[in-house]
Amino acid sequence: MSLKGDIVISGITFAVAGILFYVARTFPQLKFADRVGPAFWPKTILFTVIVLSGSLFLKNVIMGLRREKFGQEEVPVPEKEGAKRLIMAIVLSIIYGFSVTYGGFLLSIFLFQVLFLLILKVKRLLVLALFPLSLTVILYIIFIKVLYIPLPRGVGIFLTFSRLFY
Amino acid sequence: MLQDILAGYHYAFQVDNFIVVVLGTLVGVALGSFPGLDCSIGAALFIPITYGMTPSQAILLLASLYSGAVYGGQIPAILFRVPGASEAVMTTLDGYPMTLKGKAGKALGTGLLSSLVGGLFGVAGLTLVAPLLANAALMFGPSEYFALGILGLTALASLGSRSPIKAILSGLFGLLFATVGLDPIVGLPRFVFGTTVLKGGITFIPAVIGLFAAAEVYNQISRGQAFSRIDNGAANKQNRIRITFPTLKELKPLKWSSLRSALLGLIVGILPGVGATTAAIIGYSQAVQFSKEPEKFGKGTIEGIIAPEIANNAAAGGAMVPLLSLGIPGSATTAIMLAAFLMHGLRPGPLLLVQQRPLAFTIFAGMALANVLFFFIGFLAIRFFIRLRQIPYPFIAVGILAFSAVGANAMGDISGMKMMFLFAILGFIMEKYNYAVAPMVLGLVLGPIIEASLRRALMIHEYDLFAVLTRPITAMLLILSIVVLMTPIYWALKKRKGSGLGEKTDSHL
Repeated sequence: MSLKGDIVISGITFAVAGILFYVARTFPQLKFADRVGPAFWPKTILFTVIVLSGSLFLKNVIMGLRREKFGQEEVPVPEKEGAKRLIMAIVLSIIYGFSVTYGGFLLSIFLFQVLFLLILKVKRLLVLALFPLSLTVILYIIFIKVLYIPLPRGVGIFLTFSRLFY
Repeated sequence: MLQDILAGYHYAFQVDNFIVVVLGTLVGVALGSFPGLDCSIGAALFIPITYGMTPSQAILLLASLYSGAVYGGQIPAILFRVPGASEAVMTTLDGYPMTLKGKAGKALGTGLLSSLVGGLFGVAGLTLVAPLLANAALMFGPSEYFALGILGLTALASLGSRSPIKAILSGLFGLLFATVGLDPIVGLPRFVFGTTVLKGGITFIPAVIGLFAAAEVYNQISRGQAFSRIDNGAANKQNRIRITFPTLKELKPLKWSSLRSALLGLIVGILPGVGATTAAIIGYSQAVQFSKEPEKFGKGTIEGIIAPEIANNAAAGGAMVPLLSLGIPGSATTAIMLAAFLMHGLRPGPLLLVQQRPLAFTIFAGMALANVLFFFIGFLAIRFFIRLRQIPYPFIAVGILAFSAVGANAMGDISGMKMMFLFAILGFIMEKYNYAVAPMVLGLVLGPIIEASLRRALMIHEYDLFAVLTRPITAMLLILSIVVLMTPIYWALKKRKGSGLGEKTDSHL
């Protein structure tokens, strides 16, 4: 956890809360039905968020200035490898989130698992094929065959493939 | 009441319900015995599976998973000095030294027996206290519910993080997310930004799966632990363990200490936001305080395992009291359970114990059954749970993410999965910057209750806020909330002042 990161997070929170407070002011009202209206509660929460995140932001900035003044440096955290893999994992998750509608559940979840294992440094080919396949079968049985959950089938050729199974 | 209790056991012992309890307990013990996975993650991952179950089966599954996980945490705590769940943190202090002395079997047997005693005591307390509290809560109006919700949230926020301000902010984020969608009183849209997806609000299940389960995977990856090899040496050495129980002669002098731990655990569990981990710490501390030989603690005494294990398992039963009798969850896991109730069309609270009495007593019986079951499961399958730790994390990580992705989709809406990944990223950022996730989940689930109660109370009292806040019970609960919220801030300031004085003294010297 770095001080710079803390300043950024509290600053973003402060700014977003400010914008949302402005948005809340534009909520439609039904004064005859409810005098306090739909904006009352969100505005109360946002006001508190603005006050708390603002004070946190100021506290962190003052702490940062003091460190600069006294020449104290933050201890770097040795997590480069983790950060690289984390970005890859998050990007893969987002890609999966958007592609499952087109590729269908079965193929997408299988590929997602293979690629995720590769990101986590699993290299044995047999493991890369068998583990995702077994888990996909388990998920298929639980969610499609037992719970009848309507999972995405994909489009085009992927739809044809999915229809072979569900 | 006796009739209700017997009816509860009758339902819990029906074949399908019994199978669900066995499954929940097994999964709970497995999750608890695996460091990094706990009952909140398990409950979040298993909610989607309950879609196909009856309401009573769904709650039985989650309640038995909870009981199993609280016990399971002690297995790696005793064998490897790594608590499987935070509840078992105090068990490491005497459990691991016993393992080093070659008494791992006895430590595990003591822990198992203590968990059974504590768990059954907690369920007995739940069975007696919940109906009484529910009867009292029948007199509560909207203003009291508003104050209760605030108390639940502040209690968790004040204890949920090293930084009280960040924990309060986290709770506020949850309350804010709960305002997305249609207003609960007049039905007007808020924060929907012209989309139809947001009109339905933030769906709780994908959010909670993302915040607890998927975010934890990202956390492990960022720390580089997801691809580091697990040292199996210690685990392999423990594969031949045979569980042995302490003798009556050893247990007899500990009867009062055990009773104190059980009572304290139950009371701490009932308090919103405090939970089983604090119960274990208090249980252990009182055992040291009242012991004739306090110097033995920390060196491998069975009393050091009995006290925290009885307390944390009793607290698990206690934690269900505010959920079932008031409809206010006091911890992250019970907040997830509240979501499961709502998903199955049930509303926990005083009316549940009046209108759905058989269901409530089936849950009590199911929890008692889960405690007896984990006793046998722990006794017979300890080697299996030790071996679980040897599964490389990449497989666990992929399993969690795949389950999360499909589970978030299980309401038949693809946007649920996208929301799950968004909340996973948010949860990861929050954890990284020390914003506890649990207050946010509680805020998300309590938000609609708090807002609707406050606005209804204002309507009833003709928009006189002073009249709402000064109703006797409301005022008492709100004062308690302020005390709960201010206590950690006071202690933090006092500590800082103390350390400042220390620095001055040092520099002066």
